[in-house]
Amino acid sequence: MSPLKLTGFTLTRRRSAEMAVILVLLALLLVAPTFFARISVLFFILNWIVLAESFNMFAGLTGYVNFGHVVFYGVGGYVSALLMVNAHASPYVAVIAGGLASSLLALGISLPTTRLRGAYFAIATLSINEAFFVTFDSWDAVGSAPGLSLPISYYQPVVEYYVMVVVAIACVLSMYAISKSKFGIALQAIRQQEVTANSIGINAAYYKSLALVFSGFFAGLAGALAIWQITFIDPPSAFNVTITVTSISMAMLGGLGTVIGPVIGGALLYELTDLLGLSYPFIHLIILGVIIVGVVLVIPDGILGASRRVLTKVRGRR
Amino acid sequence: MLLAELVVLGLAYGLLFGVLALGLTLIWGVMKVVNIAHGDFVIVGAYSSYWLFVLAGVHPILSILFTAPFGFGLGIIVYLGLVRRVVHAPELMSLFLTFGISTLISSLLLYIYSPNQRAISVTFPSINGLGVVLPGNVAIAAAYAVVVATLLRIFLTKTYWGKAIRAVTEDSSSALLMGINPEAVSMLAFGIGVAIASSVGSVVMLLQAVYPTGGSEFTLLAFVIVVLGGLGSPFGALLGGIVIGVVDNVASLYLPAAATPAIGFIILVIVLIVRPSGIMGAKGR
Repeated sequence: MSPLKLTGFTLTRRRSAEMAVILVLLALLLVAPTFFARISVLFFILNWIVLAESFNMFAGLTGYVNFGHVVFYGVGGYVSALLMVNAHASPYVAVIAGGLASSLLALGISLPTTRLRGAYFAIATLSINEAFFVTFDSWDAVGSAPGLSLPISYYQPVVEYYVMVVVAIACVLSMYAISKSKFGIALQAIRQQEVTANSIGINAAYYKSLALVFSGFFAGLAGALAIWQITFIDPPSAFNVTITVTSISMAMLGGLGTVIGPVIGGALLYELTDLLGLSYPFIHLIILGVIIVGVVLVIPDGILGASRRVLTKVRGRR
Repeated sequence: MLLAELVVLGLAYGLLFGVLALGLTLIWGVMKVVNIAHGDFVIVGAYSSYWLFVLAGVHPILSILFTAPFGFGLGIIVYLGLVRRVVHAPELMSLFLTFGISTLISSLLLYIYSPNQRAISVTFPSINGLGVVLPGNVAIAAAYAVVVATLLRIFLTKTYWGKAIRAVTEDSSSALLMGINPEAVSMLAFGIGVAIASSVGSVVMLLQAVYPTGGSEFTLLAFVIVVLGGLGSPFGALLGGIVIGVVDNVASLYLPAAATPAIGFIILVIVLIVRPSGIMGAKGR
């Protein structure tokens, strides 16, 4: 079969099949509220996908682990909640402000930390979470330990769902665009050989900062959207380490560094985190731990990478 | 004399934390793996001592005779079963692995023992001298730290395996050429590191209450100290521990109580900005 020429890129049979699947899924997401009553389930699947994908945007592309990922989620949530509670801002403005605040925070965190190599970076990010929790827990202007509740008039599940769909699509498309761009190639060079990348004129610190800013922006949007849906925020839920653990295991299970991996991981693990987590609060954490350890040891390239390997092996045999 | 008292207290705590950081830096030095589960092994040791005390009446200090070898065995099992397979993988993978182990340990403890805090009330008489009063339990903790640091120093400088650990830390490929088995050295270092962590857990039981997810605090503390002293430097770890202990205690005099947990973080950030390779200046990668 001859490949179909379409505006510059070749549309092979395999690629058109992938496109068809993606379009069907998108169409289902758009009409879901008309036939699916528990729309919040879909909302949270998409929310987790955004969290996992935004973690992947930094860790998967640069090879650096940010163990403080939940801080972006928490700060995004707090900024949007404060705007809605104190300034009665429009929720759209509040959500975007949450994302922007987290990307600013990412920039601030990146300035001292992107100069650090490997383990030092991971250690620095590990301590950020605790610092934010303690600060917000004792800071009266942001509600301190009792937290903040949104006025009930803000709660509009269907509108929130559609905004979530738009953000999730934007997040996955951004990851795709970044990994195909010159910027993404620079990040790949940094991941493989940072010293060499620096020596051929790639400003590693600058590119890493930029990647963290993108990661922070989407995680901040996810936090703001989650707060809009839950209508409540307090320090233990906003800066919960479990959120980082979950994002990491979703991204790793699907395939770190891939575009679709975190989407698969997020969709697969949602049941575990939100449904099992409610009725058996500690068992789902045990399972997450097993998944992280298991993926590292058995399929370090995730489900996506492993299935590609299996496919090429099967094809090669024919 | 409050200031002098806080300095002495900080010194004692600092020694204990310095020894904890020694375990972390030993593992890093030999296999370049940052053990994010380090603090969780402290909690495992603390829980072992707690139950030995509650069920069998074993004194926490005596229970070190159990928690140290238990930690050594646990460390060897974890090394052979899990960590060994990522030593040569990209650093990212070993970070994820030990993070996963940390999640696994703390969630298992949560599941088995519930999130409740556990504490033992055993008190030693406090020590008076030069107008300074040091609580007996803290003095015992410091004594434990001095004993462990001394034993470790003798081990590292006088025995074959101790010298082998130092050789691999300094230059693993040359050590291999000299006929040192890096696999065995790594296993030993991981075992000793975890043994230190879990025996520190027994001592911690004398000083404070513990709970299943408290491990990350100890991990962070050990990291701050190790970064301050320079990754891979045992002497730097002890020195870093004392600095952190004293600064932390003295700062609590001048800062609001809510700010004290942030002190470690602030020190860490300042050190990382000013001198990313630590006081003792072991090279970062």
